[in-house]
Amino acid sequence: MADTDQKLLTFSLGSEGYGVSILKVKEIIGMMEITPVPRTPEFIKGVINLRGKIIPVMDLRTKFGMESQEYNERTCIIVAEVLINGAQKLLGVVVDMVSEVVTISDSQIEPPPEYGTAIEHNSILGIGKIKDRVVIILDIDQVFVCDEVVKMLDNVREG
Amino acid sequence: MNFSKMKIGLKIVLGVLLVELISLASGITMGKNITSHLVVMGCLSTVLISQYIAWVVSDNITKSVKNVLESLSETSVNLTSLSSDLTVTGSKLAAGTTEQAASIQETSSTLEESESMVHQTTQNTKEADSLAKTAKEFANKGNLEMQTMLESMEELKKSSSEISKIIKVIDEIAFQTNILSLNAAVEAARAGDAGKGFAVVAEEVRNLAQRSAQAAKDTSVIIEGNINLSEKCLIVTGQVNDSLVSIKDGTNKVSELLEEISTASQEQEIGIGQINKAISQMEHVVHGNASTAQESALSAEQLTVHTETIGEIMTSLSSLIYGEGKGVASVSSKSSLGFKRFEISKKQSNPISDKPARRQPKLTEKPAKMIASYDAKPSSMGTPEDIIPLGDF
Repeated sequence: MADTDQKLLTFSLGSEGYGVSILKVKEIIGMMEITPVPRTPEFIKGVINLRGKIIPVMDLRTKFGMESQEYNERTCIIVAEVLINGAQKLLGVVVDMVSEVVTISDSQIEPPPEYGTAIEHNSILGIGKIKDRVVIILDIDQVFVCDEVVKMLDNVREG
Repeated sequence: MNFSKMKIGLKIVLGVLLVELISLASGITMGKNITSHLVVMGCLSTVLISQYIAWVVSDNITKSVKNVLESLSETSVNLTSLSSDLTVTGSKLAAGTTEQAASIQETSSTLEESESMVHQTTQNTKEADSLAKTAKEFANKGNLEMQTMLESMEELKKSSSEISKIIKVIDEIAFQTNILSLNAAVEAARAGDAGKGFAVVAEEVRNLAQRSAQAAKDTSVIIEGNINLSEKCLIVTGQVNDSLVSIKDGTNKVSELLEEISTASQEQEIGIGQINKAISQMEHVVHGNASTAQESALSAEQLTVHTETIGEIMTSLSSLIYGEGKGVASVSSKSSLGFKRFEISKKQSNPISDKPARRQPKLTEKPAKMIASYDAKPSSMGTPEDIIPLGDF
């Protein structure tokens, strides 16, 4: 299998490092005012108005069942393009801190462990090894696959 | 009383009386006129009787004079011993007064030294006082400067806080830049091969942003340290300020005490000056006393000499009354000084004069013999008359 390089945007939640394919990322913005939306799951913080576009925002900590944390100046929202039901949707993801853009080859990626993570297995693409660090590479499409999100995203589009 | 002259007269009268008796006897035997002889004899008898009366009277006077002489002798002896005592006492007094004068002189010099020392102390105290005042002024000045420093410190703290804010802003900018660079990287990635160069630029921008962030962080740490130091400085300055206030109070007290000491020293100086005056007066008086004591000692010595002379006179007088070497011997033996002149008078005495004066030769003795014996006397007994000239009876 030929070594293909791919670029990852790395960020951190707590002490753990995560990465998503840069092609899935639309842009990165600092924390801004989030308007809560009633009757949404707990991990959906609300919606933001990004240059006239209403984008739902979810808290990855809450989604992954981690202890929530006060938002600070380091807290960022990664706006990602998610493929839901064959359509590209924009979704904001609140992370503790955005780290950097790294280039990683397939040889640096290991398959996800069978157990021991708080995340559903199908959301993890693999474990990337960058120098001494470990980066959990997430399949951002899978992370958001749940009825609530789909429903909410449908609503947004309709709205 | 001129005994010798009287004796001579008596002898002559007796001789003439004998001659008359012989001629009367021969006249009776020869039957001559004896009337003239009887007249002569009567005259002579009258003379004899008058002589006898004179002798008795003189004997009584002699007795009284003897008594007076004895008491005089005793008094003279007492006087001698007293005068010698007086001499000794006078000498002692003179020596004591001299010693006292020396002591007073010493005291005077010591006092003068003390005076100069007190004067020095006064000067030193004045100097110390002025120094304390200067110290007070410096403390005041220090206090004011401390206040200025406190204000400066406060300002420094404020500016440090402002710098801290600015650093925060820089950090913020760095963070935003970082996000921008990441966005740029995202855009570059989306552009595919066309965005490769842009990705490099984005990476560089990100590096710069991170360096800015790091620099801001370091500066922030330093500024934090500065703020802490300023706070510590403020505390220390406050303490120094307190210390300066304490110093000021202390110097105030020191100044007050020094002023008191200065006043006391001045008073002491005046007191010592007065004491010095009194001592010098005392010195004068003691000097006068010393000379007076010496004079009195001298006078006592002279008195002793005079007393001795009186003793000698007494001896001569007694020898004159008792006959030589009698009566006064007991007196002279009592004398502490001893009358040497008495010994001389003893040497001068002859066997006849050793006998009491009234034990005169009997009338039965031959006039020529008696005259011869009396003639010898004046040569040996010249002194008493020389000392005390006695008038004739």
